[in-house]
Amino acid sequence: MSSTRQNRLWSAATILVVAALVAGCGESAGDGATTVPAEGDQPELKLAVVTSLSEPGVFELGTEQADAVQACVDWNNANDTGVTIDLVGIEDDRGDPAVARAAVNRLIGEGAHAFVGDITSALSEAVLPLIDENEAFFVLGTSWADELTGPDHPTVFRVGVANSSLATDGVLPYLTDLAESEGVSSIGILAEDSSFGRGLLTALEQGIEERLPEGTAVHSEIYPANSTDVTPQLLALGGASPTPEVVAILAASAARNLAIPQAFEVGLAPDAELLASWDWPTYGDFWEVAGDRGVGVRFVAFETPERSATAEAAVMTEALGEESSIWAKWAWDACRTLAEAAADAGTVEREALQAAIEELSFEGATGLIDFATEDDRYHDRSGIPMYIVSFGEENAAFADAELVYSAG
Amino acid sequence: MQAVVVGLLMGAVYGLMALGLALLFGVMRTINFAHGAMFTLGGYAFVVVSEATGVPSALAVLAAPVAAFAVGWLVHASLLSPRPDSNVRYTDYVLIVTFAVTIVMVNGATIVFGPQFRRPPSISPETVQVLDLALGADRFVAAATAVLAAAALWVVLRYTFTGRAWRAMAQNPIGATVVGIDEKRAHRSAFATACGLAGVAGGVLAPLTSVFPNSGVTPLLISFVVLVIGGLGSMAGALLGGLLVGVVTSLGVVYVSSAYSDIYAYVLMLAVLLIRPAGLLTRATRTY
Repeated sequence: MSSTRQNRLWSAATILVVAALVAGCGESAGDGATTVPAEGDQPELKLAVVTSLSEPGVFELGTEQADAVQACVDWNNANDTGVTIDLVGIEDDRGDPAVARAAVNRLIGEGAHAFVGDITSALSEAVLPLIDENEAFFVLGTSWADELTGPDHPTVFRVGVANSSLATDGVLPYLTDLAESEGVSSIGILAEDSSFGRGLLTALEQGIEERLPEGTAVHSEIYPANSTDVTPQLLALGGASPTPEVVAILAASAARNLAIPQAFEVGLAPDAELLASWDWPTYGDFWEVAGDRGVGVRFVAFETPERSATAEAAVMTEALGEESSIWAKWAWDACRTLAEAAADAGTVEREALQAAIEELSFEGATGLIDFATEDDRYHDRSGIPMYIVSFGEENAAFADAELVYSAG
Repeated sequence: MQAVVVGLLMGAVYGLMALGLALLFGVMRTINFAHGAMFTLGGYAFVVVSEATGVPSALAVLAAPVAAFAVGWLVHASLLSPRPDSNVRYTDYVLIVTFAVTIVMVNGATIVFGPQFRRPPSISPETVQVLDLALGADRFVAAATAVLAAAALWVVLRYTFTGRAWRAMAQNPIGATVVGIDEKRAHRSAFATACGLAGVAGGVLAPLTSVFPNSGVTPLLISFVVLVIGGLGSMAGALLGGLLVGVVTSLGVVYVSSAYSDIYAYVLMLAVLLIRPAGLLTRATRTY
């Protein structure tokens, strides 16, 4: 046999094998997504978690998410909730969108039709096409970009905050209060160049224009998300006229903590008050990096330092065996949202389950869980409480933080 | 003016990072992908010695170049000295091996130290007033260290046998071997010294930017840009390139737009390549 002919035969065989594999995967994914059979007389939810469990992903939060979902599944299956949850898998995306996509694809192939995760907007964004294509359900907790939920993604819901609600229900009420009670008239914004940073920046700039007194000066600077030195951007903020009296830091990656000592270094702080856009000062290395300059930094929190006191939060604490952060509670609520809706619908069939989630209203670990269906906040939760808190001393834990302002 | 000062201070450290790459390229005609990992190692060495011994930071930071030099020496002795018995060119072999070393070091750092940020105590906690700008003295310490390290390297190159051996290898490797210079030894000392320079940069910057397993990635990328701007293998070019990148980036952020802060260095590199494709000071490579 000539080598050319042999090569052709090999090529044809390879194409046939690949085609068979692709067809097999598609069939499996399709089956899992639409017509999952119920076991016994109650529906079975095939749930999967894709989140960051190792570096360079935000593994601390991802691990909390995974543990919370595992606890939720164990608790659900040990109690008579009207639905059985089969945890198909917990996969690590390592903070890499391509890995996240591959993991979701694999899990869909294994029958998963409902997902909880992912940590950041960029990661969730990467897996959305697969979710949409397979009509799988995805309940987000910590991915905040507004575009992730909307009529284009009918099976995607969010139990955590969206950038627009973080701006309008958290940061803006506080800035408005500062403007009215303390006469603050100049605001600086330092935003990282990411879906989260840019999205929140846009929402804030619009909100400030609409809600703060006329003449309030806003100066914003953007820095690369991988940067560890933001002194040029802070210098630019410091050089703005009038000099900002409050600087909001919209960051999720490396420079979020570093921006604090660097703001002091260039002389922007302590004259300007520093406001962290979420509760990262309650995590890991904040004090290691910020040191005593972290004292007095204000940040947006989604529960008071006393922690959430709902009955569901108590159930979760018992199931997990320890008090958990808001990030873990969102993961628990995401899992419970799917389970409650499946129990209500009596099936996991797509249309019925989607309708059941849209009509859902129950007291979760983080408060009332219900979802809007209007276009501007489609499938987002409303009424997530937000607070402005700060630490009065170095190395303090969240429980020791001081409540500065209740945004409602 | 403030932007220029901040840019010059950061630029000096970029230059220090690129200095090691320039030395290595001059002597071995190759690139060390583990240069960023050595930067990270320097930072961790500073943190560990500072926490374990409690010695003043000005002394603890000396652990940074020592650790990076030692690991660089070991890497060369164990992985780079044995020449590959294949058709792979040695320069390509170095690229592949040092890339693998980077992966091992970054994952090793994650296992040992965790992914959290670690920050050693300030080397000099005072504030320095320049014009109407009060900057942390650590920035000036970092910049001064970069200048001192560059001066020390110049002295070594000029007045020591090792330095002359490096220059000879850079100018004519075959001729240098013929006159009795041990190529392996010259390469090893240059490799370890380059790693040591990355370690110095990682150590002096650690109080400013903290250390985490991937903290060497961005400095490594900037070093490559600086190296190209200054001219491959040119040490004076590395320093000049570092200063230029620092100042242009800082000025761009303050006076043009911070939205493009990532690209100023690359635009500068493209401009230099258009005007002087071999870099600003390439000739200096041949004469040191």
